Amino acid sequence: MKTIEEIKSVIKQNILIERLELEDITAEEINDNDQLFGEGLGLDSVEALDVVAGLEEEFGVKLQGLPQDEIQKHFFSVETLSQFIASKLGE
Amino acid sequence: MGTRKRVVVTGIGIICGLGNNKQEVLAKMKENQTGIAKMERFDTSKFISQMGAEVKAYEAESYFSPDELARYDRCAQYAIIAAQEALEDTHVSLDSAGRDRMGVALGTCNGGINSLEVQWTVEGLDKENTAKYPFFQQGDAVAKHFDLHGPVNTINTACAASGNAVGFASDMVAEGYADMMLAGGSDPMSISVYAGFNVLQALNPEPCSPYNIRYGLSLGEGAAFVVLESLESALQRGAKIYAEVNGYGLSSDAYHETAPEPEGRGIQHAVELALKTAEIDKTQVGYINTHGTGTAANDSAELFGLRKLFGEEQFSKLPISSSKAYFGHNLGAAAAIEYVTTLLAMQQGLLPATLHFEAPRKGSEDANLIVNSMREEKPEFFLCNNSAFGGHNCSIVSRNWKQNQATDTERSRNHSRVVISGMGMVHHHGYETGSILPWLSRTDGPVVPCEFDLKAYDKNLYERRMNSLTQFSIGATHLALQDAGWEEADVSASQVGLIYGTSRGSLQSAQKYLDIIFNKGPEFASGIYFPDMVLNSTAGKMAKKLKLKGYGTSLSTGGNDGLMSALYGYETIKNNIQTYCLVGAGDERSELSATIDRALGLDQSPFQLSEGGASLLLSNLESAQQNGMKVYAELSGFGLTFSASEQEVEKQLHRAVNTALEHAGLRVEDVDFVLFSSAGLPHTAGLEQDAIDSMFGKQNIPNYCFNDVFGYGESTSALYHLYVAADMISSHQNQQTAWQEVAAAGESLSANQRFQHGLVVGSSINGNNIAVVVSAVN
Repeated sequence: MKTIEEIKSVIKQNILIERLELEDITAEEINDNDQLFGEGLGLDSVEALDVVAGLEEEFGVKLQGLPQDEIQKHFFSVETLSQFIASKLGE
Repeated sequence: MGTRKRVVVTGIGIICGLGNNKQEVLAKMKENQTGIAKMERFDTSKFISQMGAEVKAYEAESYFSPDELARYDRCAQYAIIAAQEALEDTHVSLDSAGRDRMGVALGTCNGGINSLEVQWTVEGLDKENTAKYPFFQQGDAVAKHFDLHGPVNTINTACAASGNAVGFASDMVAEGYADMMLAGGSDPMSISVYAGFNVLQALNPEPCSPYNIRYGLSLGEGAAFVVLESLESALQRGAKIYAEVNGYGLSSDAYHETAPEPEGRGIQHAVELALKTAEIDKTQVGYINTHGTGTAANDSAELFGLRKLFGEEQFSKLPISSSKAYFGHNLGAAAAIEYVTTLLAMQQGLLPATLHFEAPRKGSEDANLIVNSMREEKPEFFLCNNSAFGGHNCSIVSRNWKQNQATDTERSRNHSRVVISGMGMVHHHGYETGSILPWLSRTDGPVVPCEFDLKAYDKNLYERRMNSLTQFSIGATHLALQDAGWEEADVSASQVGLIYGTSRGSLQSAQKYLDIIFNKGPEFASGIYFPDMVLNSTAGKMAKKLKLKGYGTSLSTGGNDGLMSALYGYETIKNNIQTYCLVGAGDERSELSATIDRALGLDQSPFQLSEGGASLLLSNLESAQQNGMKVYAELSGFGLTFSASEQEVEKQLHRAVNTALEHAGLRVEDVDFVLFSSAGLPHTAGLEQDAIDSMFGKQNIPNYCFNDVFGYGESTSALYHLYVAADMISSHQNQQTAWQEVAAAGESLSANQRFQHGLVVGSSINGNNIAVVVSAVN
């Protein structure tokens, strides 16, 4: 079972930095509560779907078909996303 | 004042999920049947949907010889089958002169992607299959198969591609470049593409039903072609006429790589341009076959745009439907399949329906949708609309010939003169606005990678993961706009168009996408690289970053991409569809690109292969002068042909040159210099040179190829030569210092030589020939 800190680290390094190739920022510089969209890291809708694919690959969870409002709720920040994944892993 | 021939459809062919010929397809439509079913071609168990409209019981061997199968990807196979049916339907027997005057315009979203998928790797690819992959091979294969030597062009604007191909082909006939054209589109089912739509969560688990309460699309496959010819020719030979292609419009959303502009501004603009070129009023439109994919993003945006254009009252009365519930979304073939099936239905006095419909979704309630079974209705004019990834849109206006006929065979048109008002180039020599003549003396150094970095050039034009091709092309285009002295606000206000040529798109991005599919599995497809699999992704990003919201398209010819863009841009300005249009091309080197070079034999070129981009701003001469813009040179005439084989090289190059001279109103003796660009492959280089020499050898005029200076760029080289020709003419006129330096370096150049008319000729490895006359504006 992964700890919440391990989940955060995978999301930051493996998904945001390596998979999405965010530039001019390191995993250490991403704050847990930074917004993923808009003003924060500035992800767009296609990148959000790629984060879904990345989470499935990294954590072996099934997220495809998640409604848009669920994505908006859980994909707010690294913090909310990690809590969501932790709950999925606990199911 | 010029004239424009009326163009009509006289032949139809189709193969798709609903049937393998037009009788089968129409019969199933009349029975309200769908071709969408559980997918059989590949395993879809790990995707969110298992639905697709596959061509049934396809036996390639019953259509093609083993030798043909070794040369044709399934994309070309479907195209040839549909084109063959269309040719039989039009009842014409072509002699050699007829084949010289007939060309091909093919739209495709994914080209020969199946030929990479059969190898299931992006490393260690073989030659035979890999050579079938490039997009231009599909259009070229159709032309070679039927031994046609007219204009050949492959349009790559994803899901709008084949509508655009029909439009381009109608221009070729209307403007006299060809007597007949085969126009259509083709895309076979592809697991990599299915996986991309899966990761974007765009697929419907049930057979799709656009505008219905259940969201999502179903993919399909197939091809459809029409034969286009002038009304005059159709009447003369008593051909059956299905419809007149009255006009069409293209546009660019300049908004997002996959999603349409939410208020449908792009499709609205395409329809406006279509109605304008067709010279009909919107109140005359009696039916719209919409793009209607079934996704939330597309359907609402599209209806929003149409409602705004037609006004609520007309919109709510206007019959509309999406045909995608019959045979799925056929991507590059979608427009052609939807267009020909609409024409087939109209032959019976019917309009296509949207099947599987339960109730209208939010935003569709006021639409007059034709649902679940075909409706008896006989409109005179109708639209066929399509929209694409990359933000490209296409709308075709046609007249249902059964309902009413035109009486005159030509329309008069005001023609404008077309000039080059801005030039920009990104290359390993550096980046530059305007004159690049000093680069011509740099013959010493080797061709090295282009180090242009868009982020360093202007970080606002860059976005993360932007591939090199897009960086070069945005850079070159920004430089051309700078050269013209245009600021962002000017560009936005002028609705400037963008026509862009790329033979391969970004293979850096394609390699990343395919590598994940082949190595990790299709269920792990990358959503962020999928949008770059369509070649118009680069033009889409250029439009978005530079705010180019006018006419827009992207095309592939395998060697004349930049010149074909110039020709297309020239026609839109000449015909007053646009006042300003950017034309450009780009090349990008990568590991996968080098593999494809070897498969195509480009490693045999005496020139080193290079990368970079070039862009020209074309303007209406009058507007350029009124606004005090630069005028480098005038484009005074084009010609285009297709050699298809070595035996035809000389004849077809001559035909291209003669057509360009004829359009410019000039003779061979009027040409002051010739610039010729090709890959210079051993088996054709001598033939090409002989062809030029036999025409211009008697005149002691400069005859150059600068590919030793620039290296060979498949998409850009011929455009570089047009750039240099305009540069030479303008620099000579102004007696610039740079010109004197070049003149001093050149052996046969004298500073006093006449430089009134230059001829630029480009020839691709398959023999796509384009000639253009460039003239000084005195």
